[in-house]
Amino acid sequence: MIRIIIADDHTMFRQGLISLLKEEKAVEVVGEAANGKEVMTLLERQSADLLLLDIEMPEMDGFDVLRALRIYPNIKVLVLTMHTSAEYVKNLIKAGADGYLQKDAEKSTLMEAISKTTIEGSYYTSEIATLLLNDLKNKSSSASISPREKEVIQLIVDGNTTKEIANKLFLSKHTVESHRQNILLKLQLKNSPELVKYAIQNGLV
Amino acid sequence: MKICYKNKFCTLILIFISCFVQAQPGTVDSLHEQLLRSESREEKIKIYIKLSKLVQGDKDTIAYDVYKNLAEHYTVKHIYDSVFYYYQKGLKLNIQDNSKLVDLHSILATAYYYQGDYEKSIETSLKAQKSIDTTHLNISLAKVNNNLGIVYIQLKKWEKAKIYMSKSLDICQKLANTRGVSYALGNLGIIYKNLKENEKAIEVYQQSIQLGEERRDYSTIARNYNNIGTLFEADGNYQDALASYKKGLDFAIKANTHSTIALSYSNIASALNKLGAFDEAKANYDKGLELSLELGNKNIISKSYLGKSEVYENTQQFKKALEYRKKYEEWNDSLIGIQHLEAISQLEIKYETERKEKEIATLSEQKIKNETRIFAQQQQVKGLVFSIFTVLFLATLLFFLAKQYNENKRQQELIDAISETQNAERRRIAQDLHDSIGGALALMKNKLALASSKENISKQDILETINTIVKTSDNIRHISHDLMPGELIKFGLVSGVQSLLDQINKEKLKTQLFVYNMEHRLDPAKEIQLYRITQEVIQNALKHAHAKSMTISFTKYTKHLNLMIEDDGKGFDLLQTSKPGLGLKNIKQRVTQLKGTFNIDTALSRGTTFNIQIPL
Repeated sequence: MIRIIIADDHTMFRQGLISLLKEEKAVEVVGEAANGKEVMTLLERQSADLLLLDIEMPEMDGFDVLRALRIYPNIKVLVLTMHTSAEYVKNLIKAGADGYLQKDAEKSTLMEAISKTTIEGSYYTSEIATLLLNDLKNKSSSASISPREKEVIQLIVDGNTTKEIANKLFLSKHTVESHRQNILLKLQLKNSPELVKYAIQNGLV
Repeated sequence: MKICYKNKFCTLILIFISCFVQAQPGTVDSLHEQLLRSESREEKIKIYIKLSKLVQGDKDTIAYDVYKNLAEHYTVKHIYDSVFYYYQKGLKLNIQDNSKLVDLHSILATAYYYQGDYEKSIETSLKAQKSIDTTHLNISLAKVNNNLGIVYIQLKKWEKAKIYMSKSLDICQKLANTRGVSYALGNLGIIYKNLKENEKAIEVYQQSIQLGEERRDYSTIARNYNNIGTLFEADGNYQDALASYKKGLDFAIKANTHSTIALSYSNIASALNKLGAFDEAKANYDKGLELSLELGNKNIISKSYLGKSEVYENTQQFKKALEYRKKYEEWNDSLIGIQHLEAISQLEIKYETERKEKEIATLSEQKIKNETRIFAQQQQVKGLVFSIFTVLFLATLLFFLAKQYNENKRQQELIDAISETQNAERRRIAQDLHDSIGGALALMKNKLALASSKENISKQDILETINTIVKTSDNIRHISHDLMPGELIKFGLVSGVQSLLDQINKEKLKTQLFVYNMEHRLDPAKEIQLYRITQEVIQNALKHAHAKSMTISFTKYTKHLNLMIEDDGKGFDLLQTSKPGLGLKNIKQRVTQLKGTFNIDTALSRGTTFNIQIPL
């Protein structure tokens, strides 16, 4: 039997969910909460296997709950939300959600999500996995040197002065200087000679 | 502004120093001699750069040589602005020799090609073609035709590509230039493949294989078998693909070309993955990986990781798929490892102290100078003081009045800009509400009124109305998101900007986001302002500059933040735009509110760079 707590500020949604889950024998709703604070007080006296968590709630919201839940490592969290943007989902998983489901999902999907999150420890629909994969695919390089900065590095290594670099890249000297400082900061170097050495040693050019 | 001047000062010093350094290397002749003696490419480039500083304006062959080689160097390095710079310098030499002109044009055409500006590449190649002496065959003509062919391949105009590539092949064959022949054959294979003339493509690849056999060039044979394999694979004929890849592997082993062996393993794995033999696929990817990791061949490494990720995706193991996808990303464009925040802040402190010390030193020096000068002048001045005093007083009074007036005017302009922006924003929201919400509600009202007058309400009517409700609620979400994006408020600037970029159509504008030291959140008010500035610049690039790609970088120092936004659009003439548009005014106003500085670098058709510094 999976023991579930439901947290959502919309009473209608909560009650709908409870009546939906009543039909199922494998689960039991052991508590409900209308905001994050209620979740935390409830958990002090009631243990559970799974928390069905809404994000948009007054008092403590879903993200606050995810952070606070780190003291209860045994409780799995399945987030139910209307948000669909990649950034949201990514941050949810980063904050510690074990599963994510859109609120308009079918009942069968919900049941699958509940059992997978509780038993296997996590639940991603193939949509979410694709979303996360796509996010990685679209994301620019994790290394933070931009193509323009690479150009500036190359020109510095080639022995150009700031003015010459500015001319060649059709930029102002001020901007070239900003690029140079950004590069030095990112690579943790002190000056251009060090940069030249670093660039050659690490095959940047 | 303060930062601005300081930087200029530093740059000035830098330039002086570098001038002295540059004065060292000898004359054109001695450098030219050095050039002839030097063997490594890098050394040569260094000498060319030194030479470029000396030969400016000279109308001789050395200058041409210097500019051509540097243009070529920067084409390979993908620094196109510099290619353009040296190309123009080369043109200014007024070259009479046509073949030299052709080479220069060809380099620019290649640069445009790499840059993705195919129209200009074609234009330049055609210019080159015009200058070629066509009375006898020469390799330049083959080169130009090859360039044109490649561009048309990229443009997917296969027929035209075929014409040019065949010409290039023909010339190379007549000149008995085997390297050129095999190059052209390879490209023709790609063309035929896309013209769906697979048989011909295979024929061409086989010709290349034959050529390879004659020359006992097993690695070419291996590559061609791999090419044939991809053809089969694209066709869905995975068995034949597999067989071809295996042949490729055999020859690669015979040639002992490790990179091709690794490539073959990776291709075999890909075919096996498509055939559903996931375990075997994995094993082959691993073989390819082991070898390519040894070789450090990034291409095959990342390809293999990507392949493994796909295998796991196919076997529904999404977590592993993600894991390998991440590895793929790391290899795909990894440059620097993990950033050590502590070391950075220590460096920052060091840098700051050094800067402060310098500042103090400069100030005290100035002070001493001033004191001596004042003492010398004091005697003369005494007599004049009284009469000047009155004039000075009046002047000061006038100056402050004027300043006050200007300040008021500036304030008023700012207020105008704010209210103008706000009004435009309100108009847009009102319009959005009216168009998407008002209309939908009216539609639903009519539908329901109609339904209530009917005896039997049809299920169809209800479903349609529900549909409209869902759409309307989506629209409301979009409008409220526009007003205050949730990602920005909840997760901070980087997430906000990333989701802003996610919404842009990639076909219209390719964007890249680079962040450094942005793990912690900034002051929320600053985050909103910076987000709006970024949004405004993106709008600008989309609406007016017709940019194709854009790079946004946030670099955080301990006490300030640098925001650099670059696009490749048509740019604008800052001097001619006497009255900056609303967008520009808006950006300026927001930067001023943050007490930051900004400058815009732009030139017609050379893109635009916004460089913004905000104190934290």
